[in-house]
Amino acid sequence: MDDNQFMVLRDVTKVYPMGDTDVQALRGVNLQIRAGEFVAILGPSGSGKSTIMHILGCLDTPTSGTYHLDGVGIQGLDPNELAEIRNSRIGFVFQSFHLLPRATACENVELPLVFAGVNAADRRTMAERVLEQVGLGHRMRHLPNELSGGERQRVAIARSLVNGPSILLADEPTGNLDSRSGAEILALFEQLHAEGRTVILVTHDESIAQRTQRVISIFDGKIQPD
Amino acid sequence: MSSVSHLIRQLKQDRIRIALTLFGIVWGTVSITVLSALGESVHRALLKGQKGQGDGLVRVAGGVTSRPYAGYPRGRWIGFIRRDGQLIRDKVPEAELVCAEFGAPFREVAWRGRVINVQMLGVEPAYRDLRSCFPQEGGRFINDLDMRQRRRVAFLGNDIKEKLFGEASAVGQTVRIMNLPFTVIGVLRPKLQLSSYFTLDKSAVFIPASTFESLIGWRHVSGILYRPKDPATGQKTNATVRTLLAARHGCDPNDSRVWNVYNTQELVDILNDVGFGMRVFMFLIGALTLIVAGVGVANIMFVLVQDSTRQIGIKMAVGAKPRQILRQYLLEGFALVLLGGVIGLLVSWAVLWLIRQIPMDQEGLAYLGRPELSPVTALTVSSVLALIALAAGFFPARRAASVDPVEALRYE
Repeated sequence: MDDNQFMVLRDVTKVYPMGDTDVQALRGVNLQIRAGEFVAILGPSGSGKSTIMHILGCLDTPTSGTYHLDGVGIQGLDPNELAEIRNSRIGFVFQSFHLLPRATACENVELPLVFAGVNAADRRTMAERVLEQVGLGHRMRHLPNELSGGERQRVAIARSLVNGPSILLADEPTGNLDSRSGAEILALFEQLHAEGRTVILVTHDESIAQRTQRVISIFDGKIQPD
Repeated sequence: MSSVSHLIRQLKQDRIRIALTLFGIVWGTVSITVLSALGESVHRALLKGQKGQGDGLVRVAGGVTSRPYAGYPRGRWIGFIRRDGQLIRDKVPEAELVCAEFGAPFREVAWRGRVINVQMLGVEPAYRDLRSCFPQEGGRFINDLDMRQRRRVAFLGNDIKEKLFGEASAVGQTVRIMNLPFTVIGVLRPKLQLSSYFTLDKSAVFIPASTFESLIGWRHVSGILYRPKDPATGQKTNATVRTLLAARHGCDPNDSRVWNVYNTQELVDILNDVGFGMRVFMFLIGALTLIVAGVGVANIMFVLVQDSTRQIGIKMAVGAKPRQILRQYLLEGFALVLLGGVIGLLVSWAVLWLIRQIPMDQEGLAYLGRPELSPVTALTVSSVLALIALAAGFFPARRAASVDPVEALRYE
């Protein structure tokens, strides 16, 4: 397998029915991402960048066109198979963290392991190790509302890492953070990329996009030429 | 995070809503359990009452011929005598407890100035076992010696004893029947009796058939009672008895007007049908209550799913398979119904225990019987609960599993 062919979108469109009209979120996207790349998907609100992330992350499937992840065609997989791929190969980080509000930091990090069928003792050990890694070893028993924004995003990153995925997808990960916490989080992503992961940041902020190796601009559902 | 700990978390959050739902399931379980148990015990009491008259008992009485036979015209009276009973005893081994019966003219029975008018029966010793006429402590029923010596002894129905003697002891006392002294040899132990052709045994006075014959001077008995040894071949036994008596009295064994047959097995069959119908009815009422409670569970599960759409989306984003989500909510619904069901069964057990503490002195209450939580009831109720749990959990769980993670995560 050619490294260039790690994540391949070919003529991908996505149409959302919205009442009587259809919203054309993606209009024929062609994109290749190499394994181990650090990529930013840059575009204004409504440009379709989140939709690309959802498709790359197997949360959503294209209306037409194909997506191959590591040689496997994603279109045509059923929701249970897509979930399996998300669980084992992909970690998500969201702008608003998306932590379970009534679960502790540690329990949140354990969540992917629950669905992978890991037993409780191993889950605990693995979650604690990753939390140490993101610098939250002292906050494991805290609920999300007892943590700062930066700490919450670290918990979310720990959760995305716990299953050892090779791909990290982050949607505006610094959007809800002050500049100092944002910088720390970006540094964390740089480190995770340096460790060999494919990291894809979705953002509207050019200065953040510049921190990556490659910027893919998207506007009105189409990739803009570099 | 197991689904049980998740459920406990939800329980803490929606305490009142869940408590009400649980109450619904408990109430439904108690309804179906108690009603089923009552249906069962009333059925049992009815059968017991029927058996109070005699278990599988057959009574043949004479009648008037309705067709000519062997040169005799129709319209002849055929009556049986005590020797016919002996004949059955000798010739039909498939029939047991054969007993001739004279009854039941009203006669005055007196003790110390108290006089009552009572139906008097002349019976043979087998009557005791045939009709469950067991004596209370210290007494006995009519025996063979009484028969041979035509003794003037009387066995009193418990109502009669009550009326004549009140609290005083009757055994050994002398009562006057038709102004002749009779020694009381026993008093009927109270029993549940549903039906009778003369009077209930508790309101009759029994004397030996031989004494009755010589005292009253009747030649024909009112009926001959017996019980087929094997209920399965009862019809055949009855035919044998009919053929035997027909040959003896010169009449057609198939002339139904001669054979006034009274067969308690037929009544038992009817009672069984009635009892079954009643139990089904009770069960359905209870089941309906439980189904309403099940709708409540489904409702609250829908609310839980609704409230946790975003969390379901998060779980799916980190790799929860739709079928794992489905299973989680199914289990939650199941756990909720199960919890209510277990509490309901415990409460039912307590309610039934309370019902059993009600004194059953009155005739009507006696037919409540002694309701118990039988294994059959517990098993049917549990199956119904399980079915309702599955149904109540399934639809909300299916909705949870069909949450679109992109949709669920898009909005704050």
